[in-house]
Amino acid sequence: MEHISMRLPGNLEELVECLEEADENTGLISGGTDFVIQLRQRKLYSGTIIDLSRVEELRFIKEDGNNLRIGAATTLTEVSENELIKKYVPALAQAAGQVGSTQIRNRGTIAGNIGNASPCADTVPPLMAFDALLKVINGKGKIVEKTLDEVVFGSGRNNLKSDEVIIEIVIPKLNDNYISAFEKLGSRKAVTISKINGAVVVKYNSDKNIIEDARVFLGALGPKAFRSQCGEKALIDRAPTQAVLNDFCHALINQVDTAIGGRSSQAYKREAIKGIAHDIFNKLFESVVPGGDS
Amino acid sequence: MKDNFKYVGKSIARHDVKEKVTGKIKYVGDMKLDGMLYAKMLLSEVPHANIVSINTSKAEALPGVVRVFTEKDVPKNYYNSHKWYKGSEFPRDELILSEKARYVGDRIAAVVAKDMATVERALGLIEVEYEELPVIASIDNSMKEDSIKIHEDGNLAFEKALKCGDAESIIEEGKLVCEDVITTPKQHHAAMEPHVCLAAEDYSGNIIIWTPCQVVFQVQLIVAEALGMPLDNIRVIKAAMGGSFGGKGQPILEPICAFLAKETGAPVRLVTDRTQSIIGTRSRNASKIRVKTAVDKDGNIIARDINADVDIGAYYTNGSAVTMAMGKKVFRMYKIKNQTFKGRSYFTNTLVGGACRGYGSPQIHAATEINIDNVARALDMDPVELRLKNLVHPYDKDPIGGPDLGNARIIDCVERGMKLFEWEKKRNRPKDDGRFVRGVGMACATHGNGYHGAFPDFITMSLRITNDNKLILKSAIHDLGCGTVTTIKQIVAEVLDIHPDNIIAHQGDTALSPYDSAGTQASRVTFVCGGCAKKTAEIAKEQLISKSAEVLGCFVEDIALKDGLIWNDKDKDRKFTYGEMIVMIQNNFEEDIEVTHTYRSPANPGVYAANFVEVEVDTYNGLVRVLDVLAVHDIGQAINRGFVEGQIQGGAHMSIGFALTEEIKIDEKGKVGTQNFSKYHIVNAPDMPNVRVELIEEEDDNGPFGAKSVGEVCAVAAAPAIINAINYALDVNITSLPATPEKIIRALNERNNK
Repeated sequence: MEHISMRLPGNLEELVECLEEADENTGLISGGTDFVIQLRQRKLYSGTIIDLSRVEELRFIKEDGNNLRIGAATTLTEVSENELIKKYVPALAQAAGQVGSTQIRNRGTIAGNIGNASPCADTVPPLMAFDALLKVINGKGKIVEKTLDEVVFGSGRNNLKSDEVIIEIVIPKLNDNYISAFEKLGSRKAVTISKINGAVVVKYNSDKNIIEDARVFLGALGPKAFRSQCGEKALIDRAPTQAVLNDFCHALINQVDTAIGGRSSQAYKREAIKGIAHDIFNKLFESVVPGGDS
Repeated sequence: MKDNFKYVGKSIARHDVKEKVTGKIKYVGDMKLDGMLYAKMLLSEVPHANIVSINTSKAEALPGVVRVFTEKDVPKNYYNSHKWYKGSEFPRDELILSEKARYVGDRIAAVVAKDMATVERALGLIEVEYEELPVIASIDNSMKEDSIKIHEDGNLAFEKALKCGDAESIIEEGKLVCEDVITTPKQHHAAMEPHVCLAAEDYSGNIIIWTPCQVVFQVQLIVAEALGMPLDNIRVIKAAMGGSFGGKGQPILEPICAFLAKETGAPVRLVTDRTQSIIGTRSRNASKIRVKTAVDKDGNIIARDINADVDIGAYYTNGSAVTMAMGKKVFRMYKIKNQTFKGRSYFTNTLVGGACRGYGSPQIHAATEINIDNVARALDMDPVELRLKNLVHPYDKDPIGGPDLGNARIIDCVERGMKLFEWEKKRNRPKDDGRFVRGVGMACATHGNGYHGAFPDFITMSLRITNDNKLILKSAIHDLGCGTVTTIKQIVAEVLDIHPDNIIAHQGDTALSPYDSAGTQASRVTFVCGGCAKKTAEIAKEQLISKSAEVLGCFVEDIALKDGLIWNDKDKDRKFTYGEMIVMIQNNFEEDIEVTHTYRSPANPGVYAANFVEVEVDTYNGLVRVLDVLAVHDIGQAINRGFVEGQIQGGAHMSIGFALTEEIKIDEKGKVGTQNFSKYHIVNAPDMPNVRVELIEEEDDNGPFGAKSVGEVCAVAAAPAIINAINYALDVNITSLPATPEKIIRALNERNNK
């Protein structure tokens, strides 16, 4: 009779051994908050499941020279509460802290949120905005670095081969001039799937009061999160004023129109993105522009 | 609140709270009988289709599968699951398994196997070939003349008008008339426990059913009709209930579970998951209601014309009753001399309607109370002032001949609420013009107290005082989580002046409980069953006193009774517990005290509520936060204060969801978009406001200790109050529930483009 076999690697070496034998009927489980549901929905009754949750080496957050490194099996709660992340990658801490419910964040892992490749995955826009890289190991033990854009195909699919697994997320540390923020909009305050999410990283020169660089990424407006260059243009080389906020807002509205023009959700999302734009802008510059926009 | 009560009005913990919080209580999903088999249904994935064939061979070949059942296997005994007593008749169009798919969620097949994993697997191996038919997914399409007929007699299932005076001609005369068309969605009950049932055949061929249900005698009746068995060969035992809200009112799983147990000869537990519970059980009926209200310039309502079209889904069930329940309410809140209500119930290829907390009241009040605010807006009058001019007064009559309104205290509710809420101050403050806009709104609601005046409404209870100093009350009550058992115990305790811990109140079991005509529905339990408990306890008390006088050799007038002790007041040194007295009665006279009493409900007064709310709308994304809810309730007398407050908190929660987020989304092709809680959003803790509860306790003349119902009326007024607050804050007129962010943004855009 068909059956599902569980593999329980205890370290990276054993994980590679498991991957070596992996085929298209092999699944990866870590927190299981997405995988278990899919297992039931797809009515999978045979194959192999590799459980990553016992590989202690995959669970860490550390500072390493110019980078922050996050182990793949680090939970979203751990990411959201970590002081290093809060200091260097606040947008990611904010995003991880808003995924699903407390229970989901306590189980779900950062690599799972990426690999699941949901269009509305909350950690993806900030990671993209920070130019994070993913370390991927394969069944031969070879480790390569890939961008999120390379790994995430979108609409629930990723580009990883059946013997590949994300083991680490590497985020470049930006200097003190960089500030970042994340916002999401769902149909309620908490425990909600994003209808829109966005992350912005800016290089802000406080002496000159000027935004010297900006990276803007939006999610849930297509198969996967993407960069909004028009959003960036509205910010770069300008001072964070009300006028700039208005331009930023309009840029994002245009971005929504381009991304989902003609879809039934366009009418709502092109308005609602105003809230995202304002909230992100205010988070970024609340110390600079007191009160921001009411 | 009166302070001369000892147990009534107090917050006493529910009888099974320890077992619930420690996980000791056994729900049906936890029960396991020797040799028990597991079962689940295959529900239709298509909204309307003839079933060409069902191939079960692969499923049946799976090791562990006992049998797969389809429509070919079930008796062709059509039934209507809404029917709750013999002698009533409603169109019968349901079968244990359907011969045709009439909605996404229709019962197509059932698998019985040795374990749950095998059941799930086998369900995936059943091959159904459908011949798809045109789909009617809305009221508008259902009423089109050339629409395909879902049932032989056409898509208009029911229509009836109720009227007093002559509203039509007055409205035509051209007074100030305010017209709105309000739509409300299908709502899921969202009980924590999805539907579940366990049935087993005993050694003599009787079927025993354990079910979290609302009416054991209705389950017995429907199972008997569906299986073609004599009533008394079926025993129904009410099991621990993990929430119902009306959803477990009609027997849905019980007939099929009993059938599976009978056919397999083994105990069978039939379960549903959340998706099946959303798409395949019952829902609040969707509605489209047109309200035209004519007023004079002073704000007196002179006529109202209401047209309610109700989407009852694919099977009849309570399609007539729920529409009539809507109609009756509109004559019982405002004094309107000329009023017409026309109700029509339509079949659609969507989820079947059934009882859902409020039973038509949330829909009809959403319509009429939103309209009342629009009347006030047209008159430039405060909506509270408009209401106060028109609301009913205590002891008003029902203008269409329904039961008297009794001590109807809606005006007290509104006046008290207005003051506590600081209505005038909040309503008249300058409007916000930034991103976040606050606003206040209010609405009223009314509901009934049972079936008196419409259907048989009586219950029999039996109370025995034991020689171990206990009072055992036998009756077909069902605690749905509201605290019914404890409420009834408090009533008996008050009458007999004994602590409720000495009282044992068993719940419904058709083999052991005296008969009850209607079960736990229609907001009748405290009023009718509580009334019976009180009367039964009073008769027992009389008997106890008179027999004690014989035992003690004194006059009846000398007998004193307090705190569970009884004595001759002229011999105060010798006090006896009731148990000790019963021992003497038994041994001296070979007598006993066991009282059986049948109580007929004497009345059906209105209960009333006024809710005041404050909301804050994010005008950028349309999200609404409810900041404050004040619920003022006319309840006669709280029997258990904590339960009453709990009911009102929970009712407000359900009503906030109805206003803002809850909707079973069914597209024009009949597909259900909200198949689990990731898409169907009930209001969760971060979004739930504090609900302030204020009770108006002016005794009802007929309720036990003056008590009236609360469990349904509390789930009605918050929704229209919220919509009214949004409409006022934004100066828009949203008339479609729920007021989702998308609808709010659309309304704002329309307003801005004017």
